[in-house]
Amino acid sequence: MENILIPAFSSVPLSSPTWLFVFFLVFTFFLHILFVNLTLGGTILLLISKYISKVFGDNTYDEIAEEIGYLNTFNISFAVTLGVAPLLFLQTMYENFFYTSSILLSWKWLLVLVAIIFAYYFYYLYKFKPWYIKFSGGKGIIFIVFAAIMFLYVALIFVTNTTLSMQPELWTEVYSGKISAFSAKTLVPRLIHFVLATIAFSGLFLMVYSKFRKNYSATLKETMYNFGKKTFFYTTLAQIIVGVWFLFSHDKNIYMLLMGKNIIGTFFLLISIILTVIALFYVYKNKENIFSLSALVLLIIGSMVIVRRVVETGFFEKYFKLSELNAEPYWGIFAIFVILLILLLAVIYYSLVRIGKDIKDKAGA
Amino acid sequence: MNYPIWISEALSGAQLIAIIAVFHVFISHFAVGMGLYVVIAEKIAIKSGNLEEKIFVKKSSALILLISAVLGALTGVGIWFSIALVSPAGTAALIHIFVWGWATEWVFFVLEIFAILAYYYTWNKVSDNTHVFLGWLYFIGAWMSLAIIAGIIAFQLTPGTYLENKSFWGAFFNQTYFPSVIGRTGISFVLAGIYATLVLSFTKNKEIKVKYGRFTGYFIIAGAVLTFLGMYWWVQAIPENVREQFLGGNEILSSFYNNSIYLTVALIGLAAIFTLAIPKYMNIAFALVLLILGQISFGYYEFTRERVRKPYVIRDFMYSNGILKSEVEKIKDVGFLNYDKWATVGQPNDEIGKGRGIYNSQCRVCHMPKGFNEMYSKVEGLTAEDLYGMLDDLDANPLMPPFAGNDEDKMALSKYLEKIGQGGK
Repeated sequence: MENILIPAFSSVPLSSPTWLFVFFLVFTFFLHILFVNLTLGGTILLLISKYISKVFGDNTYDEIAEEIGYLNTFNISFAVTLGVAPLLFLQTMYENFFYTSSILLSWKWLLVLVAIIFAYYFYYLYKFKPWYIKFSGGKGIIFIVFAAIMFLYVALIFVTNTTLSMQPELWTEVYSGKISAFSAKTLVPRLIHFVLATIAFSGLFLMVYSKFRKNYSATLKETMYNFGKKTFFYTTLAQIIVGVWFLFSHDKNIYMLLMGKNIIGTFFLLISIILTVIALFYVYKNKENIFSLSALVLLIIGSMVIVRRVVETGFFEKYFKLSELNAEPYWGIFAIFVILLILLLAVIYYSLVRIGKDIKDKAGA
Repeated sequence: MNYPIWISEALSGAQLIAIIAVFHVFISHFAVGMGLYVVIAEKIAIKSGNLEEKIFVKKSSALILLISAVLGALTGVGIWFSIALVSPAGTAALIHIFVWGWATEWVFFVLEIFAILAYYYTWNKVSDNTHVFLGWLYFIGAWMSLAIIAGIIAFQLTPGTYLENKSFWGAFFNQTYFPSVIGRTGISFVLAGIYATLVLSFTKNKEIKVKYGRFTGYFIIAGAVLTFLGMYWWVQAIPENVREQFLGGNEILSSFYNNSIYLTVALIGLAAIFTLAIPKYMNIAFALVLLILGQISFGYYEFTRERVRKPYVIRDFMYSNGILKSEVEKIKDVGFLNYDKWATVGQPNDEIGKGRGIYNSQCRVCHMPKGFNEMYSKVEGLTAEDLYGMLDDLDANPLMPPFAGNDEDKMALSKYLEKIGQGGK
């Protein structure tokens, strides 16, 4: 096929076997997507609670909006920071696909960063309310509206880049301007599926968070919990329908991977569906134990991240297999990386414990 | 088969990278230096027990939170996005060689972001010791990022022993590594001091202005000493033919290099006078002058460092246009258009179209037809025959890669260059 032009993979050999990169790609993407969920889903929930508070005059929802606004600058920080790692590991194996689709998106791809910077500062304006913002009627909610638009744009472009990178058969036509970069198949259901997931996860987060805050009033706790619960339940219900649509928007050879042809893909899809139904049932029956519900949802996300990898590998396998890549491993620097990563986790844990103890001491004194 | 070309009518690839990079290094170096600045300043404030001094340090740390954690982090990713757009083959090579180095840098990046958030949001909530500890964590994370990235950047100009033995450590600890780390550490102290003048200028308390003005002055001078030490060593460590280029050999490079030195000296002199001699007069106008001067001198320095590497992305290995040095002969045999199928996608199937495709692939990253480093004024009025003859000797200019292609490619490119010379596109 003449019009499929896949750039050559770099002639510099890989510095580790590919399974190692796949492991770190999946693992760090899982961490990254948790905070992406909180960032985008939280932004949408912030707007909804602000809307409810305005329409029904319920001040508790206003408090919820403020609380999400306070938390989300942290979530954005961690979404960005943890996003760097999967992006790095992705580029070690799929560079020729990923760079090509980035080039085809050109400015649209670069603008993603501008959008995040603006959204970030909009959040700080909302959070710290400098100048006259704290006296204004909406108290800066307009900035969150802008931030939501920016984050949705970021989501759209990331999904577009991913789908485009997997479909080299579209590239030359996109490059010569005959079709749009947004013509890639599965783009729309994929975007909706991912955005709904962010909302559902943020709903769950509100449920958990409301239990953890000791100094909240009982009303705030209850309202936040119920708001999160409703959000989680209905979005997840809708997600089942969208998920089916998304699955069957793929070509048969891809969706069959999740329906028997690939054992890992099939197993993890099945697991996520079963766990989702259990979670929904749990919430529906009001029997939820917040820890087991959280554990369930984390397992679902983990499974879906693996399913995603299987689907994407399925796309790429039309053109190349990871096992064909040339690797000449060197382990010294890898060992240093692993040691430092473990040390990092220890230092973060130690710092948090120390901060917690200090705050308690100060409160007691 | 190669990559499609990122084409923008507004900017050349080199310009795009330079704009993002100059902006980023200005922020990221400040972020490193400021880490040490706030830790020492906080210790001074704790010792004096003066609450207002602590507030001054807290305000300085807000700068890190709002500037470095947002703009610094995202423009850093921006460099990466932009080099992958402009120079995908070069980026891929760097990632293959340094992936675990980058991953290690990411560990320190996580530490840096965690620590600055913890540091800022625990002001007055934890004990002094814990708070200073968090400040140190931030500085260690930030400085280690610098120390790792410096190795990768220095590698591009001086690949060390990598080209012979393909070893990671040979690539990383190349001959300009240590001078780069020392020089950049110095720059980061100077920049932190300059940013601090911004906070100082908003400080109303005269005593604090004087006390921390002096402290800022000493900080800047210490940074200046390290900067010039590192730079001097760096100049000694680079290959001689590269050094000649900016010590007179190439006019633009030499003037950039000189400008950056003069401006840095002026910057440090002015900053030292204000912070050490007359700190109580520090005001916003002056702080802005220092910041702008700093950005310009840094701009010149980074431009020099980038341009001195020409015509390579990775010296003696890959040219700026992504073509491997080792591939040039092969491409001359098989023909460029057979080697790079992307070159003619979307171009009319005639000689001009082919020529434009070759131009986009081999020349455009540095030369816009009109605009930045433009081709138009270089080929104005020349005929295709003149140009055809010149293409064999492109690399007679030490900053230009050789032409890679056969006679047919050369003819097509000459025709297109002739058209540019007549004002066409």
